[in-house]
Amino acid sequence: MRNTIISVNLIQPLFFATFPGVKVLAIKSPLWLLRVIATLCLMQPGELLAQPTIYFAGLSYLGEAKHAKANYPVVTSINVSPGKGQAAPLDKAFRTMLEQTAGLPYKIAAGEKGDYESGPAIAMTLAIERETVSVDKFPDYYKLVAEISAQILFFDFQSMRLIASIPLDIARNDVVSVYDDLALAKETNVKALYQPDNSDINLFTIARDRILESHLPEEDALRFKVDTLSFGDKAAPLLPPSLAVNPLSQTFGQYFTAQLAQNARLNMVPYTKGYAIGNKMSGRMSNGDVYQLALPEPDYVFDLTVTNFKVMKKTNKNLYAARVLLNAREATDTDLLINDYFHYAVPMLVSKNQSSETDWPGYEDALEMLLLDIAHQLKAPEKKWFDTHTQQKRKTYQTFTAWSEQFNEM
Amino acid sequence: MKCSNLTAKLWLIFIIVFSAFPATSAEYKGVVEYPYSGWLDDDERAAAYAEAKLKAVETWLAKTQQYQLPNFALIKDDISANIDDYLLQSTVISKKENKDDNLFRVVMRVSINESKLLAKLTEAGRGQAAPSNEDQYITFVFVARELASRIEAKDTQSGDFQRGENTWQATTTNEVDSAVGAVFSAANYYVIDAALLEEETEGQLDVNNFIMDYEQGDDLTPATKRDAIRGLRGLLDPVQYLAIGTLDVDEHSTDDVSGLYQVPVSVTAKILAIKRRGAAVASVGPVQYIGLGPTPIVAKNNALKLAAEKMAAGLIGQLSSKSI
Repeated sequence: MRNTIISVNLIQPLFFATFPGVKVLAIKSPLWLLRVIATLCLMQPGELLAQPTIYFAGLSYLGEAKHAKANYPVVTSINVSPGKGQAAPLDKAFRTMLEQTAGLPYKIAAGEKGDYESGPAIAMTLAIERETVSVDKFPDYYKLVAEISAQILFFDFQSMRLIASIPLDIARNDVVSVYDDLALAKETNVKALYQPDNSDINLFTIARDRILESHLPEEDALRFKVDTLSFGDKAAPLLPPSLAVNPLSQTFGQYFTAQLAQNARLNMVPYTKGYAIGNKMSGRMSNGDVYQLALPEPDYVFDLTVTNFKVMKKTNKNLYAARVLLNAREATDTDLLINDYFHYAVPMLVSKNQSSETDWPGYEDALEMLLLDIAHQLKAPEKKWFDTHTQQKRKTYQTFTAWSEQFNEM
Repeated sequence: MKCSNLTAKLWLIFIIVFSAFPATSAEYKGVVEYPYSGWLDDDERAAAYAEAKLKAVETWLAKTQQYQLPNFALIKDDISANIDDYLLQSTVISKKENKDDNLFRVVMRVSINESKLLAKLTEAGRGQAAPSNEDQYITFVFVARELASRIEAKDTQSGDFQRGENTWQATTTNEVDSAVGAVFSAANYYVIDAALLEEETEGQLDVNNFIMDYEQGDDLTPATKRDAIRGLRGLLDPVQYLAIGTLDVDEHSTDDVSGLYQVPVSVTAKILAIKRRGAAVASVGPVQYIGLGPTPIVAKNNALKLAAEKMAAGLIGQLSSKSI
């Protein structure tokens, strides 16, 4: 008997963050007019102005090309071209989905191959950056969480420079009997997330919806980046032995980046630790072509250290807590705009016969909730939250208030 | 009609918004701490912004256009006064007033119109030369070389020292010729294909001689160089400069991160002034560049193109700064 529980974790897109007090000095046209025009472009495509044309380059896999199959075993096994010059099935399905969608802010270029000399100059790829299944073992069953992280990347086809990105994250929970085939269950759950149907629990529908809500950022938009995410001396030993520190840093760096994009509405440069050297981000297209994108330099950077985890065990409910040190600064400056410890605790019900191997699921939930809340507070600080979740309370509240006044959208 | 005018204006603005990704621009940041006295007023703020923009341009010069620094020194004030003419975009990243020390810290990100600024700098350097009615002609022979054989230096059994020796497979390539020609032309030199001058110089300039010399070593033989200079000097409509050099292609390897092939190219080049008895008036290298590509050939071509462009820009920067 197998029970399936499905939940979807949607990360909203970033885009078009605009900032008061930031002026475009070289363009003589008033900025507000540009924004009105950009809005008009999206509201009335085809009536006043033509849409920008974007070449869809298919799916791609971030990281070292030679590790693509090992890092993304499911999608690389599904998305195989049936023959030379023919589109791989997921590339084709997503492209069809986009072509059939009304109200896209871009026109998707016809043809299978982009040509930057005569064709559209901007290309888009749906770049997969994580494909994992975590397993929690209970006496009678396994709890599976299949997760995919991806980025919709827009880049200049000629200079191979990243223009914008939309982070995406999707998860699917499942419960599998200990008597079932665990490997098959893991594969099936990941495959389900790659089904390009019109349900709202697959990567492609989410990607399409995010594209519908987005448009390319102005060049003068400030750029933010999670520069480092590390685990401190007290937190690192509490990570599960089966998980290496670097991939976890990558996972949470991406997660925090996505939260800042969605909830703080910041124009984020992708978190690249693990698949970028210098300011170059590498990937491999589904047709085997490899690419390197130059990333823009961030204007403001976040450094986050997970300093500790704690658990308070009770009869039926455990309390799991995560603590982080968050710093933020203008990229060329050493003065810190944000500098404080933040903490968050989540209760988790514990059944009598539960024998979870580690406390990690609780810590993970606490850390995710904390990062989510920090992003929310950057957008709209609430004084009470700082009293509960920060070390410096009022001082950090004032810092966040100043931040939101400086960087929030007009 | 109002409607069509409006549409045209909207379209123009639309283009500005969505075409803000120029391929020939370079993005740099400028940071300044601008001292002020008393109350920081609008004029002082504007001066701080202008200084930050100039600082960004200076950073670009120092990092990528060292050969243009003397030219920049000539017209720094002019560029400073008209800085926005050379920028495609500028954004205030941060502004911070330190009232204790009366310092206004400004960080600006600018997108530099490289082509326009380079043309201005080169023109400034050349403007220092004595007025001349002559057109400025330049020709060049650059060869790409790949190692054909190598004899390592060693002590022989008889106790003598045997010098190491490389022989090369040399050729001229379209990638190099196009890239160099484009840079020289952009600097307002009239570029003459060396092959066209062979007949005019009655064979004294012979591209094959250059290739054969460079297959045997890193320098031209005195005879090849002397004949070429003599031939160019004897032309009715003289060519003032001869640029020569080698681009040595090393073996390809795989870039671990991208999986792309990478090919290193080492470039050495100089410009000889024909009127000045073949004296070298500009030289570059050896400098190494790396090209990436999905195949070894594409990677090699990318490396050659990159090396040629950088080398030519360096030569032109030096040539113009010498006001020759």
